[in-house]
Amino acid sequence: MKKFILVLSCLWAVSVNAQQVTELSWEDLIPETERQLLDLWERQLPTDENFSNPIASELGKVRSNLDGKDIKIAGFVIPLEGDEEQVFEMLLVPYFGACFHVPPPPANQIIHVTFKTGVKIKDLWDVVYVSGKLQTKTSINEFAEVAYSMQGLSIEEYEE
Amino acid sequence: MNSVMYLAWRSLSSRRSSTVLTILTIAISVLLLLGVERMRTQAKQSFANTISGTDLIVGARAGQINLLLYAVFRLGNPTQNISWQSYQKIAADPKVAWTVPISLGDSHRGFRVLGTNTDYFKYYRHGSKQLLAFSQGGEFENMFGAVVGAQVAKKLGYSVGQKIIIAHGISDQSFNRHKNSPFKITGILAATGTSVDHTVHVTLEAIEAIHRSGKPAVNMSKQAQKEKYRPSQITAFLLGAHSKMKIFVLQRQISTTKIEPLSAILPGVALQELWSIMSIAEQALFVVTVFVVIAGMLGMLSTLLISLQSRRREIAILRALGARATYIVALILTETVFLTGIGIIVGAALLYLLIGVFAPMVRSQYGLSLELSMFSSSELYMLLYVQLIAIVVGVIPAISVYRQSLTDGITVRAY
Repeated sequence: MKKFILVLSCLWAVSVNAQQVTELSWEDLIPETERQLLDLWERQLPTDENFSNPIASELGKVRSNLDGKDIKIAGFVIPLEGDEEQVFEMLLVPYFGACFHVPPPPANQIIHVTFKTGVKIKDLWDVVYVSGKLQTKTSINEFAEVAYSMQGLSIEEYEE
Repeated sequence: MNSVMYLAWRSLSSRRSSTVLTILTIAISVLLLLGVERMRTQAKQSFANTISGTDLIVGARAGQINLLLYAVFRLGNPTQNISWQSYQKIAADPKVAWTVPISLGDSHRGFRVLGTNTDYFKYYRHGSKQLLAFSQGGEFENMFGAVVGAQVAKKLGYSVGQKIIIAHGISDQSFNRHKNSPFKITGILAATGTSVDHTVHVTLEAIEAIHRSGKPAVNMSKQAQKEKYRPSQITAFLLGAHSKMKIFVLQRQISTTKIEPLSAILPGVALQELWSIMSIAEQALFVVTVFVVIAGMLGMLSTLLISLQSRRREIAILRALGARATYIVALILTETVFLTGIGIIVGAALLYLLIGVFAPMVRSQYGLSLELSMFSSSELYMLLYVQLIAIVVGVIPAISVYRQSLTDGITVRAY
């Protein structure tokens, strides 16, 4: 029954937008000019004693032509807000354990997803597909950063 | 139908002792089933509601669950404090929007004391991003102001303006109560259903003062007090970033900083890890309760089957009086429905009784608030399943009765 509702709501969303849902990879989110810099960032060693991270802050431009696109993307969930059952706000990242061990992903490799009605998350080490409308709007703060955010519609298990 | 129910009821009450025992068996299994479910959901709920809107929790290097438990739920003790300097340095980072310092380790008559500043009331959020509200009074007016949680005020009968003494260490029977440090309650918080309700909030300077020897300078000017009792260390702090995108960068910076070993955790991730650890215990408990319910059902089945032996004559008389076989089947099934139905009611009543009696103790010992709330839909489903399983189980004695022929009970046996 739940699946049926999910399918229905997806169908409804698609028909309302009358737009194709594009499946994106994380690389698609990086502008062409930045792709070489990414290699450099991956090799950066975590020795930043002076509280700065020059390469990571240089990276992270978004592709504004993706704004408003209905997309589907696979990634790992970092829950931010939720209750005992559901998650309402999350960060979607390309690899597991983005919150430890490895250098933080650049801003364009993080999508801030909000769900109007919460979603259930099983395990943090499971890859999930998240569908929704991608936005590249400026976040409302004094830094006026441009970043990816998404109005999440549905979440589903990733299948190889 | 009415006659079946009447007969079933009279039949059960004529076998009072075995009926009462069967009902008790079912009641206890239902109590366990509901109790475990309630503990599970309410523990999760109160944990999940305690922190909201916080991007990172920063403390001395520790596992993320440990840090989450002591900094937010006041469970367990911190591994180590962090220096005021490193707190100041991180708080000054341009990516940081706000911070709330937390200093733990003292107690007041069994309630934890938390040292903080007025930012706590501005930025700390619980439930779904709700700020704390005052039911009486307001924030600290000076260094020796105290703001108490709803349960503290209720249990100790505190009101705004009252003077209290705060002890060093967590034990209530602490020998070194800081008799020289008089605190005045400036505010009482509205109930939140979280650990905040069981916390006494004071200023960081006051925590520093009660740990120093000598009579604290109560009558100094505000500025002079701030200078004299500048805190040297805090236990942990909550942090909000300007942008969610910067959480990982900040976390990386904090955990790799060379000032001192620190950990920064994302509350959502730590909670999820806590859930996954808890789920093992949850499942084990659930399996145990399911088996207890099955044992209760088997107990009922055996008493029904045994009673059938002694009721051969009774049933034969009913048949001789013109009762059909289906009537007898309905009679037995009605008996099982009565037994489990009453068992469920008794079990639920026991649950509420136990919650009523033990909730204050559980709250003060484990910081877990059990509420006398109505049944949730999942609990109602559980009870429905128990009742349905009972009906299925009841089919077994019903069939064996059906098979007993009319003559079986009235023929005088030759042997």
